[in-house]
Amino acid sequence: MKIFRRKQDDGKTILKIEGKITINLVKLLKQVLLDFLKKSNRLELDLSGVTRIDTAGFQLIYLIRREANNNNSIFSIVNPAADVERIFKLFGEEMPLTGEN
Amino acid sequence: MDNNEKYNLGDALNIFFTESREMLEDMEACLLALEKDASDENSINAMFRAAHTIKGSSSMFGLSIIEEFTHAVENLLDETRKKTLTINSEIISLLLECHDFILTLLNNFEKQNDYILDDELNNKYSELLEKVKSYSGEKIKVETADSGSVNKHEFESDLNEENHVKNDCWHISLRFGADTFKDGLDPQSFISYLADTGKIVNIETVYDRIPPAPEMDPESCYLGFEINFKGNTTKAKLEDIFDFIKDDCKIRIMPPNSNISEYVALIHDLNEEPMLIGEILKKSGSLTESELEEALKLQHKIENERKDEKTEKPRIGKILIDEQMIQMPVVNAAIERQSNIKKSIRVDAEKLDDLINLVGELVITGSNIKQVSEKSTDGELHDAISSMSRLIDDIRNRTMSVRMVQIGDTFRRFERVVRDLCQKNGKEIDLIIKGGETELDKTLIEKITDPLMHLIRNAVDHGIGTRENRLASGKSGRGTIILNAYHETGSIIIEVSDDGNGINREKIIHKAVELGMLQENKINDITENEITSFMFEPGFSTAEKLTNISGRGVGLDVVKRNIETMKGSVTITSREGEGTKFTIHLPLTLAIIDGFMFAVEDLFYILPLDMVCECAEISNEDIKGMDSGNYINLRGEVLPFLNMREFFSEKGAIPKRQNIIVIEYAKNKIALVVDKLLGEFQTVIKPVGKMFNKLKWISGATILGTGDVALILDVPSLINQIKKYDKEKAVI
Repeated sequence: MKIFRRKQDDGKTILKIEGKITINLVKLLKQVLLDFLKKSNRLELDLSGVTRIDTAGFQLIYLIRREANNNNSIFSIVNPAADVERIFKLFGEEMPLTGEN
Repeated sequence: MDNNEKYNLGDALNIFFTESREMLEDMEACLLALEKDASDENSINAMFRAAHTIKGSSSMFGLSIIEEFTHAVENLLDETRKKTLTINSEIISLLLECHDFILTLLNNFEKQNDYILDDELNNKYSELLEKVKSYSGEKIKVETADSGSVNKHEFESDLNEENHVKNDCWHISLRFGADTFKDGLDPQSFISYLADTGKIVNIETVYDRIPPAPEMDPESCYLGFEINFKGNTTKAKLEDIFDFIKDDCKIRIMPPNSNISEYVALIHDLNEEPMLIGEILKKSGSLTESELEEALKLQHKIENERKDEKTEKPRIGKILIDEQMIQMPVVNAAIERQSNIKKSIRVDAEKLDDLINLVGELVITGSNIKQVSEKSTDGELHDAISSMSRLIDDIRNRTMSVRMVQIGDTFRRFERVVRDLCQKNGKEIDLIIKGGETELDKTLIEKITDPLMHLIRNAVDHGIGTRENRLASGKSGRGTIILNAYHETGSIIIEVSDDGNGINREKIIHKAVELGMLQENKINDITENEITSFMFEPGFSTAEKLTNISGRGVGLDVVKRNIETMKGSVTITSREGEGTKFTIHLPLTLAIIDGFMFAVEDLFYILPLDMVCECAEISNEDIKGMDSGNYINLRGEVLPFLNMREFFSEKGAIPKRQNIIVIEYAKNKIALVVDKLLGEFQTVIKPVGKMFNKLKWISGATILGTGDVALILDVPSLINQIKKYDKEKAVI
């Protein structure tokens, strides 16, 4: 899994995740994402490069979204790859996922 | 993955076959028990579990035919245990057929992993599958309507029974356990599968259990789902989908239009904030606004009532009963069984044999050390060797006992045989088993099964008559066959008796004359024993018509031969009109024996100690013998004797003093005249070469500490020898 960070001029941090978001990587990913969330109050996840995501990954993304909400940060998910769309649909969540409920 | 880590599928597959066969055995026993008592719930539950497990494991190994078939059987059993289908003798017979079929499949797949069913089996498969499905299929409609009330709960609604929710979908509530991911499971596979079997009308993911970020462990699962599902299915089928995860996940399945009390129970059991879960239920479309209100009201009321009760931690038995998941007697039985369960492990038979061989060598070496040490006067040495001998004895006894198996299991297998034969012949026979806990060596058990099978078949076929015949002769309509086993000095006795017609003396005599085995003029001289011994002659059968099981005339002589191969003997006692009893004697000769050694000239011989009654000195006068044969008078008892010097054709000078050893087997006592008595001696029986096959009276040999070879004598054969001598003398 690779994470690419781009900071835009308007203060928004865009994180592009490439590869798998699955059980063996979620522990690491949690730390990374929470760190980024602390540093920036505008976070966007670009999931176009995600090859596979499992329920652990889905759960983690929800956590980040919830934390962002609690901190009054702005959070959004863009360009979900096919597998991401699939799992969100399966679990009854609409895409694209934003910070608002 | 290097080779050490590679999971050895071969081993797992072997275990699967062994365990599946065991489960099928259990299943068969349960079915036979149910025939006698159709209310036996334990048996039904046990069978369900067996079918369920076989289904699951066979799917893991890709044996989809077995999986599919067992699945259908499992459904049928499920209906039975849920009481939506009452078990009757037709169903039991069908299930027995299914059991046999699954066993056949297992055996075939074991021989050839990629086995493909031949036409005959394919037809059988379709035929049985159809029959099974016809039983469970009929009941499906009943199931969906009733299952709302299957989960009776403490929560009784004030509302009358008519208060069912409007929701016409199945409602499935899932709360996955924390270890779900760690156990290698993923909720999405289950939900995905569910979606494939119907339509998920609505799914709400429940996130409330996710703790604050610092404590949240991303590798644990905190998710839950409330699902509204539409599909033509049954509760059992839905439960099946979540089978692999049911130990780790709170699952609740509610059929369409459930009673509102079900939802009250759900809210209560989830133990989450009632308002929140209520909202979710409303959002998912499972409850309407007013239904939700009603449910929350009820739930609240019950909560308060519970707080007033004394809170005592309920024991697991009580919890399970409250949940109505099991009934009282079953719980008690389970708890009792827990305390009685003897732990056992599976052991490779080869390893066991190796171990026993080694123990054998140890015994010999120990004996030799003891012999050599007897020359020494060193007290410490003697003490040490005494301890060592005791330990070796102990090890030997315990190792031997490992190979001992209770004969009860073998006996019980015949229950099915008797049942099937009775159905075929239209007879009614009970099989009574006594002495099932009597143990014999594993190898003997394997060898005795065939002869016993034949004797039992004989009893069903010829021995016991039909119900009408029996009643006509004043007997009970149901016949009885009794299998009995017990120990007796150095042997095990197995009896097969029936209360049937008994042996017709006249018929036997007639047949014997016909076959030329008996001369007409000798008919009156014949003894009871001789009559019955005719039955063991090859080609002898008085059956009027040959059945395809027995009566071909090859039976009893083969039985006798098999038993004699085990160095045993078989006799018949019978009373015409009352019944027949076959008594089988098998010596408990184990590889290691306690022996009694004697010498003739300079050669050594050993007799099994437990067949030795006594020894005494004897004068040459006493053993001169009489005209009528070799007999001695031992304290008033007349004993035939065998002069071992003569027997072994020793030419040397007869010693001044000789000794006798009195041996006994199967109530036959004889005396052996020998030169020297050498005392007790423990040893291992080593086989002698094929050269000695004809010498029936040698059962083995062993090597003494001195390097001499001692021959181990076979007592039953020696006794037979004497009988032969007698016969020969009579002829002269």
